[in-house]
Amino acid sequence: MNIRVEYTQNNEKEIVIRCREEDEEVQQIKALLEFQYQKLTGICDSQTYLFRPSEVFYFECVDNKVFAYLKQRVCNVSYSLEKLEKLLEYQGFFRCSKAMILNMNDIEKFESAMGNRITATLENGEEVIISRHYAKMLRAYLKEGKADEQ
Amino acid sequence: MNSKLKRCIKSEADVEFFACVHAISMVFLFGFELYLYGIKEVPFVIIFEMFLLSYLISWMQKLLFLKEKIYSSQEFTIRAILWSVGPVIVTVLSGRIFDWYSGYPEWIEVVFVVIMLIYYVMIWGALQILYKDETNRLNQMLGEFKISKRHTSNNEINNNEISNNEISNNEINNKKISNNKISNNEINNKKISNNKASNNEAIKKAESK
Repeated sequence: MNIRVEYTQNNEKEIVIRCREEDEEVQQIKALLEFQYQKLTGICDSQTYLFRPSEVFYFECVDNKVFAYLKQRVCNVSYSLEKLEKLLEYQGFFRCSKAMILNMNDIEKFESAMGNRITATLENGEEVIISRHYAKMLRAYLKEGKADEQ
Repeated sequence: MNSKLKRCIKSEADVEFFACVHAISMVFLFGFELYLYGIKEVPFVIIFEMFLLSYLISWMQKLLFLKEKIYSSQEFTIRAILWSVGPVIVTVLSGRIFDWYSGYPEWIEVVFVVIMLIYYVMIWGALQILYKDETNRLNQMLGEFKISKRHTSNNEINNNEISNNEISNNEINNKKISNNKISNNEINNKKISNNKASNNEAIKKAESK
């Protein structure tokens, strides 16, 4: 893959990806570029906050509302879990249950529990249960190492 | 609905697997004790009852850890004790209800119950070792995942630095080129104006002649 920089008179920077088809590699590049500049908005105490996805411990859906659990606050976000899952697929986020997306970079440790479940301890000390169904996917996710592919 | 059914089937398969393991252990132990006593046959009814009991015990053990929640250490200890001791109590009761030991000496029941207790504790211990092993493997994979992620982000930073350097180098080159162009243009302009001036002088001289 060639990377080259073209200089123009325009003030606005533009990134163009030339490819035959939008394969996984191109999608990853897009996701990386978007991630670099992407910020999510969330409402917390009737104030709107901008935050990077990397600041989020996990997203959780409670009563059809999606909340982002940040290091210091909890924000209500307008995105659906499905959209967030797609958006953050290559950024170390993992759907660990029907109602939760976990930031794998903020996991301190895992513990295998009875019934093939996994308990994930986050860096803030919170513990999250990963059910048997998702535990299987987590093992595959870690084995595949999506971070390697980036 | 489909996922619920799937979950039920998976739970049932789990329970049946453990039920078979328990039942085989029970039947083997009971048969071995009778063999030592001098009886070479175990009645089918007792085998059937032991299989049923094992199925019940297996469900009981499954239900103890069915909830998807984080158990406190105290809660976990109580459930672990119930997981190993509960089945023995049920076995003792079933033996009495179904009359497994009538006509045999008392030690058969005592040895059977004690060994079954050891068996359940050992199974619990084995499961804990397996889970510990799995925990270590998961944490190792998590560590590798994080390292690869960090490596990727470092590469991104390096690439950014390289591209920034390239950009600044290119800018310097572009400036040099434009400066050279400007100075060349100036020289050309001067030459042209000098030429024009000399031409004008030549024309004036010619006119005066």
